[in-house]
Amino acid sequence: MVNNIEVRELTKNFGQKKILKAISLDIPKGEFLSLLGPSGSGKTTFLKILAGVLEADSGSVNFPSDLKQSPVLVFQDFQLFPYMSVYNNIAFGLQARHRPRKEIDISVREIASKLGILKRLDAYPGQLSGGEKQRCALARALVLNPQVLLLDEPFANLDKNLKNETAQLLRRIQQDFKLTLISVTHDQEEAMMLSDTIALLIGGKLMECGLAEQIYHRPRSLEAARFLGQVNIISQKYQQYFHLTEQDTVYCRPEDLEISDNPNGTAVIEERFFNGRVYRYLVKLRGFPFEIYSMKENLSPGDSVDLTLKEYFQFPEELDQKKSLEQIKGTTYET
Amino acid sequence: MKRLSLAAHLAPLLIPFALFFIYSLFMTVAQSFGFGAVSDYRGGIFHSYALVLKDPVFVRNGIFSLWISLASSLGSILLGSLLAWQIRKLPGRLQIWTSVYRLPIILPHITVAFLILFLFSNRGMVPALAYFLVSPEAAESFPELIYNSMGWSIILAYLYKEVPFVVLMELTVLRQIPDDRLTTARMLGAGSWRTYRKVVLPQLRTVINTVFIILFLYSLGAFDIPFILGMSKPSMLSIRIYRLYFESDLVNRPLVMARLTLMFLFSLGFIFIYLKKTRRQQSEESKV
Repeated sequence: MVNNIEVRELTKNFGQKKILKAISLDIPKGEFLSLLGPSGSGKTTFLKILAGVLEADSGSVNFPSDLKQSPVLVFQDFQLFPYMSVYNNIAFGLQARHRPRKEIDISVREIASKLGILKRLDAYPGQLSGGEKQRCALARALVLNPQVLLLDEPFANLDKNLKNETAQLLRRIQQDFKLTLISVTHDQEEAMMLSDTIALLIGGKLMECGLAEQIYHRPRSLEAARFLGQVNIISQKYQQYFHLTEQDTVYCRPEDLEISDNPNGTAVIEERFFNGRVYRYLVKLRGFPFEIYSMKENLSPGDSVDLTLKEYFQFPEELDQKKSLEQIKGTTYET
Repeated sequence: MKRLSLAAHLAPLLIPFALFFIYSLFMTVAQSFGFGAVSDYRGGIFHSYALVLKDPVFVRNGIFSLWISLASSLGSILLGSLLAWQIRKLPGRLQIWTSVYRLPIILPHITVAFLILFLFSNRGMVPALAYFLVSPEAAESFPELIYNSMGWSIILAYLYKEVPFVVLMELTVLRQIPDDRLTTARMLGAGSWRTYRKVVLPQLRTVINTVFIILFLYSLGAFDIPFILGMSKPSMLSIRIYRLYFESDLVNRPLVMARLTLMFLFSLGFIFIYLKKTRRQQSEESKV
């Protein structure tokens, strides 16, 4: 008996272009997963295959055996039917299933009330705001009681203020309806705001999948790390400065470096920016640049400073590769 | 000021057009009242109208013309819509091959009339093929389509000319409907017919109305196809008017003009109803 959504070796090509490269993934029932990746990485294709609107070239998708309603996909631009009122948009799926009129009416009003669009039932999509359109599209999908809901870029058409509200709404919906929710986004901040688990898809390849925090602070490759945010590279040459004894290059996030004022410090501030929440400093240590996020506001370009490393990471795949190379070298030497 | 400058810009186009229209209308109405055409006309102003309206042939011709216009325009809309939807559903790379549907648009009406004649007359290609491919009996029992009292050959010719026009007009709108919207309808459980009826058709409504009016009014007054493919009884109004004008006595001129005026008034009424209908739709569409 299958309990998770099991994706195995999923491959999809469009002509010569490989869109999905043997994706394997387990999505537990009731999970809120964000599929994160840059534009053109195959996220929407993956979502469409899960929704059953696109066929994979090879591989398989198995849904939990107790799944009664096939997954419903909510498109990025909502795809509301412009010539139908909000009421008829929401009722569309139930009408297609030939449900009794009274039952449809009760279900539509109930879901509209839950999503806060009860007063807009007579309006047409063209008269709705971006947030209302999204609620209408969600209501149209949720009224069918799906166990799996797929969202394509749910924040794409919303302004910044609405994003937080929508994230909260989606989390509430997921809990209330006990949904498995899979959302696609290209924005790492949005992905982290939405879900606990993130699957990182780059160039059609699943780079990693895990808890948001873990992926951010312990990424498995430089490509993945860089997609999730700024990375500072600390090569062996600079390890002594940071009191490190690692054999290989280490990496850290800008917030993992602490900056302290010291007129005799070895590092020099090159640039200083304020991004609205923290100060972003560009610091050069013996000619090598480091990016640091700090709350300190009293430092200026040209100031000498000291840097302290609070946390760092290495890439297990890089280390494994190095180990196996060394093993090969050792074997060759022995023979 | 703005209106004046707009009128000044449009004047070179509008003035000759308006003058031509007003002159033609004036002459037609005047002659229908008996002025200008016949020197010793003795009837009252509406005498020719009374005669025309009492004439059972006029009523028969009118009904026949209405039947031809309605059947051909409705048939064209139906077949054209079906074809346009099927073309829209084809993958992009195949759609380019479907441009062959536009071919009949460039053919002159008279050519199409002869084409129908060559294909469907008793000695035409279709009965001949039925003779060789099926049986001599099949050829014999082939229905009489040309010079038929229901005007099937005229309707067939109009369908051949007008279906591609409907496809052309509808495809422009259909191509604006995103694939994802159709996918959404399907994903929500709608079959092909429900998707078409509920999602696609409302979007086509305006273009269908416009095309219907154009086709209906065109076939109501057209001459060339009915002249070649129609029979004399019943004939379409346009043929009857032609014959009365060119082949009968000058004394009948007011009767001809009264018929033309009545046709014009009918078209005007038709357009009025259409405009009223679209105005209601436009107010609905402003919400959309």
